[in-house]
Amino acid sequence: MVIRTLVLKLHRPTAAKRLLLDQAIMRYNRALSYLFEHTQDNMETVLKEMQGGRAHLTRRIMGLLKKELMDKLNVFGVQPFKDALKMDYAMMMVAWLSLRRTQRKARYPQVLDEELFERRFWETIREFDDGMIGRDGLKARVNRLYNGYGISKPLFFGRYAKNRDYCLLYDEEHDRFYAKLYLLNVKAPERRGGIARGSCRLRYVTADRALLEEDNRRERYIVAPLSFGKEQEAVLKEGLQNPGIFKTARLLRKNGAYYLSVNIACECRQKERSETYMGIVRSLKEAVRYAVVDRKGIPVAEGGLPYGEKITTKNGMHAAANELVRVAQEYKSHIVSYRMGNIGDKLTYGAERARLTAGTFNQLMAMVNYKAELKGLKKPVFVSPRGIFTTCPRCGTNTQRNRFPGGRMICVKCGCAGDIEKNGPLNAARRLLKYRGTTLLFYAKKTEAGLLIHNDVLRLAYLAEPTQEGIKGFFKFVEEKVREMKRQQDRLCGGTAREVSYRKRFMNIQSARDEISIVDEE
Amino acid sequence: MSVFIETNSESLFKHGEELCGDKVEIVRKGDVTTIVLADGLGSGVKANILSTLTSKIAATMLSEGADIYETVETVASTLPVCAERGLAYCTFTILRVNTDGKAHMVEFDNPQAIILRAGKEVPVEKKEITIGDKQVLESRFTMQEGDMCLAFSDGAIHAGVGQTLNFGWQRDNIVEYACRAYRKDMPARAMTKLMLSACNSLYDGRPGDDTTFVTTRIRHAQPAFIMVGPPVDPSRDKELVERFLKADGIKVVCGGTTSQIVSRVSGRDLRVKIDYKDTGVPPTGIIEGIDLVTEGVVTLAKAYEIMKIYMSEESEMEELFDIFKQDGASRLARLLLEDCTSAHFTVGRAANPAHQNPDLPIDLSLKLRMVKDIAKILRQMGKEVEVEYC
Repeated sequence: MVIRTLVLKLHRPTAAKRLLLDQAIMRYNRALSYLFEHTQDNMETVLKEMQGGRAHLTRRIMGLLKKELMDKLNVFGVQPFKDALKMDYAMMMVAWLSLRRTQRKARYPQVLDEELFERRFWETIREFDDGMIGRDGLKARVNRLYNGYGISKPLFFGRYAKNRDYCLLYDEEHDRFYAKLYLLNVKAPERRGGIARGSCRLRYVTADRALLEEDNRRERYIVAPLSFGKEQEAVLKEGLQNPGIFKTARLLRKNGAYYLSVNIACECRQKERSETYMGIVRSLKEAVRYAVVDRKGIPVAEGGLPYGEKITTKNGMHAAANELVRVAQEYKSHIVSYRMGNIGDKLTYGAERARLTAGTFNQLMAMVNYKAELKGLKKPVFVSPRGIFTTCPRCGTNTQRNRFPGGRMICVKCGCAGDIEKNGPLNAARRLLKYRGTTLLFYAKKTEAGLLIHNDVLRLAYLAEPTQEGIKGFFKFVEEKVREMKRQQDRLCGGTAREVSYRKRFMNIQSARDEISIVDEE
Repeated sequence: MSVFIETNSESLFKHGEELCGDKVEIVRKGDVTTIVLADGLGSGVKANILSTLTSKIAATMLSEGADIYETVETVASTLPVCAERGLAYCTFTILRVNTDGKAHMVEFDNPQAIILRAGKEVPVEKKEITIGDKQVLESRFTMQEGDMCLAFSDGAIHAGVGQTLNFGWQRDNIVEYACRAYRKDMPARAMTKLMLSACNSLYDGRPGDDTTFVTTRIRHAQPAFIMVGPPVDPSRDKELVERFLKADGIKVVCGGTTSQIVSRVSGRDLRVKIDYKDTGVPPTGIIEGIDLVTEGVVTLAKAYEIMKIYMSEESEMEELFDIFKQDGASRLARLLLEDCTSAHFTVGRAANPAHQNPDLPIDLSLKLRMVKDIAKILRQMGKEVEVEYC
């Protein structure tokens, strides 16, 4: 599923509505600031969650925000946004934690409102006066404060619903769309009732297409007309048929105007089965290089996108991503690439540097990722960049010693020589085939009772007779276990990422004798 | 020190040529090993004649006691003159090394040889001397255990010129590559094959010049004692096994009955090792103090096949990656090819009752032939081989 963002402008909100919108954004930011402020000194629990390495980190961090803490946020009047605040906080925290893995000094997220800014500012001055920080430190801290000040986070709506957060309304007669935004809590004095809607008959953009309630109750929400272009209109009309596509949204203020940025889920049916693999990697001479191989790993095509200043711009990047997806479509390819993160591709070698920075490459690949899906291609796979340029395409040996100046690779095991500009994308394209070719390891240990063959990650153990017949029995046991695991697939969830990955591989075993290796433990 | 001078050479022919213009001669006499690498002018037949003459004359003279200076003069004066160029020209590298590690090297117009020690190049002082009208580089140095000397023809430094590399694979690049590829226990054969494979790859599979590498490696002498088959006279069992057990070196027992005899006489248990993968080779056994216990004829035949592939000049590098597996035949082949420096076969001539089945294509002569063939390969490698029948 691909998530697209649809930006809709709130059409000329009245002064009263603008005031409500501004206040809501301000209250939201203050509450968020409070949350970050509060947890900054109690990071142990959050870090422990991260180090646990289990999946759904965002959800687990949300769980750390206890009711008592959330109740304290009531003073900011953010009752309608509490769930959204939790989610927003957790998402920012996850982003920060993953950044911290590569940059130990990554700055803790901050949302500076006026009050916090002032407090921090005077704290800094005091530290300088006490000699705790020097002139440079003061300058850096004040700069950082000013950079962060005045930047408000968009107000997040965590769900699309009729009676909370936000939803869209449709005026059939005039063919107009409206946004219904819940901004106030029950006790807010700004609530108004009996608002005249003229001749409009607004219907919810939901499955029941119900009419918007018209009574004199004081409302916690505002209704604002939306303005948009033709492309957005087409998506909104699609939403009339399938309201399930509307997901979360963000309300932001930019240059005095208000925008609702709605996340739209695009279900992309995969049109065709992929026939080839296309590896995309960074390059020393070009922006990126690609190689297409068939299902046996034989090269079919190769090429690259020229580097230019344009490619680092948003439009240039879209154009590059479109071109890559076009090539993938032409060869009916399954795209294989990598993300630069904790582990890099180690393309930089002495003075030889990759043309695209890690960040730009990641952005480009993120675009390729969703564009490929939108075009009906199989979801791109991101593999580990480890050894992508130093792995020998002939014998598979991966060592940094294979890399030589001038963008050359000469394998120290088999002598295969080549250009890393060609080998890199080829290795990426063949990665999935390589993964398929690796065997699962089981360890054999002699015990008094017999030969114990086991894999601790899979939590499987088999006591065999120390004879060839015993080994045959083990392989039969494996086949039976594979069948059993397949039957229980739904119940087998959870565990570490390694366990999940091992289980998947085990369940996909076709021939136990070929895909399992037994090695002596001692 | 008890060392073995392991040598190996191989050539890449210039694309489209049927004869190689480089020639290597290796002569072992007493404790001195003489290696001559000659590279004839041009390519094809003429170059082949020039290099063959040069290497043969030099190797023969040197091994018969002539000194290097006299040899070089003789070579210069006997080479036929090329009708086109009016030159009698053949570059060469001569290396003489004895078992004390003392080496004497003379190089004429060939790329300078590389001496590797623990993965680093050892700088060697060379002086330029004039012999006849030739300016040659002479050096004397001491090689230690584990040292490797790589001599090569100019085809190596021309690898990839104008194709994959602008200026070819310069000597410095070759040194860097050899240093990175060096492993402590790397056999000379592996280094030669690897360097040639790299050159071939840089030439994109179409060598523009004849390319030859000769690797000389000083290694610790490691004899192997292989017992194949039970003796005809069972009363000799004890004597032979005891002598076998006392021998200092790698010990291998080939054959089920032979292993049982060794187990019985030595009083040590014989256990069968379980093979987790079906390799088509009978499983190996375990006897304490014996390095390898295998089945007899089938394993020997399979080991011989592996050894043939390993030694073949036609073998591609890919074929050699996984040539040594964990089965008995692979382990035996590796032990004979890479681990031992000399081999002593004790071949029993007793008929195996299990082989009397007319459906089985195994008989005593097959076993004896296998041993002979294996011994031949080992001798080609410069290893001393003794075969004792009992």
